[in-house]
Amino acid sequence: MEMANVTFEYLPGTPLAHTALTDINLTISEGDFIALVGPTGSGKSTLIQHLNGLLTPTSGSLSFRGRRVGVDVSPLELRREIGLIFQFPESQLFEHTVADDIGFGLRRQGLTGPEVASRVENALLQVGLDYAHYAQRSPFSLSGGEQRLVAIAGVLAMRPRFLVLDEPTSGLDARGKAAIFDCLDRLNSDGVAILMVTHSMDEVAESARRIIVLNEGKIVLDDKPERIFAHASFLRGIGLDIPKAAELVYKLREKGFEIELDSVSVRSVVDSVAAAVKERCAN
Amino acid sequence: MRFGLTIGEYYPVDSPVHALDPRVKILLVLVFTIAVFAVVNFSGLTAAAALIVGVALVSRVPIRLAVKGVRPLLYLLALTFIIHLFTGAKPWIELGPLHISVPGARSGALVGIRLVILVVGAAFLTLTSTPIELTDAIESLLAPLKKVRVPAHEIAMMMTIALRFIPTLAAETDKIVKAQASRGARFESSNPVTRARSFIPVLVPLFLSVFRRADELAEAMEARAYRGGEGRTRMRRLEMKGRDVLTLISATAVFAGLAWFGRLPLV
Amino acid sequence: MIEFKNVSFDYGDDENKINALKDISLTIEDGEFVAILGHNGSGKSTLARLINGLLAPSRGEVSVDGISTVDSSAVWRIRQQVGMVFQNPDNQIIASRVEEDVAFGPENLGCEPAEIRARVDEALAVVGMRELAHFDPHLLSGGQKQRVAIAGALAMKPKYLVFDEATSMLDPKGREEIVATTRRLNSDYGITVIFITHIPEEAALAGRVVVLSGGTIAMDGTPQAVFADVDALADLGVGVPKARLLARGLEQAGIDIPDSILTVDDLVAALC
Repeated sequence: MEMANVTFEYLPGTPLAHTALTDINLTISEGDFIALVGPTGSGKSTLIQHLNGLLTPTSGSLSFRGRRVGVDVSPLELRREIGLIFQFPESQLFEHTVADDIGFGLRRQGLTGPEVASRVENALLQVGLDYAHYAQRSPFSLSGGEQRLVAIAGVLAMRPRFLVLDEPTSGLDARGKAAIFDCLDRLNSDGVAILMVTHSMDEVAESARRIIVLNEGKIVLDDKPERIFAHASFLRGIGLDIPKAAELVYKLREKGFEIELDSVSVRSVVDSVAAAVKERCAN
Repeated sequence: MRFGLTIGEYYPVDSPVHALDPRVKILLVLVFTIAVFAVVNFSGLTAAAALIVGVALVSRVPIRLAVKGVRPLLYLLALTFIIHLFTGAKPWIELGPLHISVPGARSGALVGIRLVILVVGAAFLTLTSTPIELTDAIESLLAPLKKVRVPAHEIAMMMTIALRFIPTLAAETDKIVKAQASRGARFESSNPVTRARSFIPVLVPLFLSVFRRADELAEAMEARAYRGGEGRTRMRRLEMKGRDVLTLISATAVFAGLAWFGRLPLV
Repeated sequence: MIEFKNVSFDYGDDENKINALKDISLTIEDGEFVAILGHNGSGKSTLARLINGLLAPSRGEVSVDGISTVDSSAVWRIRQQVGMVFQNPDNQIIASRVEEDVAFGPENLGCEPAEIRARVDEALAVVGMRELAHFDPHLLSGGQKQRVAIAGALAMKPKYLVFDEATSMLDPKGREEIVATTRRLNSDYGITVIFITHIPEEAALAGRVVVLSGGTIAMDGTPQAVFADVDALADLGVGVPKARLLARGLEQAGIDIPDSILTVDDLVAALC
């Protein structure tokens, strides 16, 4: 997926016009795990709506596997390859049973019977829900966390190679969050590229391998997590947090510790800090 | 996000018309409506149109905003005119089974112009009063009818809540449409049955959300000690000032004059 | 003082009965800042609704300043005393202008117009929203909407404020606004705060943390004491502050660190 010089303006030509995205250049490769972060109003949701053709750029172009979106590939085809999951996706459930709801997009595609059933079963498996236990239940009888997994399965049933999620864990408790991340990690190791919009830097630190920071409609940083969080004061200046694990490392460095860092996940930070502390004690 | 439901959305400027008590404005729209219905000649309608232009000038609201409200009625206007044209007395030209009638054309034009004047006139009510002012005014005007069991407070509360949630639900509808489109829904079928069916995935979640919101809102209102209109006071009270009363009386007199003039045997 | 005496609450009919709360006893003293932490479905929201009489206990008794919440003559007095802020910012704002909404509570209490005006202005000033008094709520951010909701509760001059996951739908900035406002209300205005959340970092700021699990009180103590046992909390479906997780990791790597650490700054201090 490639975005070249994409600019998007809301209500162009009216007094209410405002530019939501400015000159966005972005390449997303197979198997990426990207976190898209930025303060509220920075253009994150406008950007992700371009990725599956819900919005078309005012200027610039998008291409998917070398084919121009809107020229060589229609938004409708694009949506089969790129799954977009909005915030609180459980609010889009509408069918009588979980299986029917997940199969909705497939039936729209013209698939029938056994093909739909097997894909639904597979999608439930991917989100970690048991088919026999859930398929025939009403989606509205499930817990909030389960409903969200079902909504995600409804998109996975289309077998996208690239999944875009807006705040997938918001409002969930610790268990609900863990279930979502288990699912995303599994999908990613199966080769599905993931782009996730989030506010929680601690979540970003655990799973993303690349972070894109958006501010006022422009990409301001695009790098590996451990390098992104070196810009701690810049990030705080635009209203973003840094993960607690990274904060620990930077504060210890200020105190004269020498700490190497190759990831900002809790586990690897603990290892690096423990090594540094032991070394200092030994001296 | 804007709904095309309103005749005219509030136009925020300071003017004597904006400053008028909203109850006076509602009453005057009613009087004006009655007066215009009484008018049966074109001279009277011209006079009514002149009055509207006068209001527009005093209120500093561009008249085209008020006229915009007529657009949805164009089909209705055309239909009314055509029915009158072909069904009037004294057929003039016969086209096979159809007769075109001159008195029919006249009465069709009268009805049509009358409707336009009414809609444009009423638009100034919503263009110069905020929805909150209108709600307060309706509650206050209906208050005497509580004795005959008109639920004045409940009607006003429903209007308040509806106004509050229109933008929220509009944004939510947009989001659900996009979410369903993202998983393969299509809304552009030319077959009306398919097209109507394609909105089920939008309508079901929307209704569920409305019910959930209603539940939560009811709970939040109870938590803030809401128990209906009984014993409830208001922060703002509408106060009728001397100028409001004077405007009400003089404008009513002008509208009565309009009705009288409109019934004279003129063109 | 808010008191729960052997309170149980059941949902549903006899056949599909769900025990949301089982034999809870809990006392909250005036001036406390209590966080109630628990996984979804642990009974947190039920507990909140029992305090101001939105729900009545199936068994046992809930009382506010000695008055039982099932006393129907006192329920309006209790709702004035116990203000509540709910989860969804959109579904608790009634009017399409900020100050109108804040006026809603005192209007229901039958206050005089001048008194309502004064209360609205004061409440909006306390939450820092006075400049936005004439705004339409749908133009506000989530954090601002929740501050309007807090002002709406404050305008009733409550002694207690219950926050039912009031931060869970907000972004970090909105969350910070609400937490800061809440702490100020407790320390500067002496309002007793019951802060229901599933976010451990927020609970760690309270003076006391009560952990609910499966409808019972699993833990009750200072944040340091409650968050000491990371594994026990994980079994209860509750996380711990990230700094505590880092501290425990280091401890397991053989570094000597007290188990009361809840912030990164404390952790840095302990290591240096």
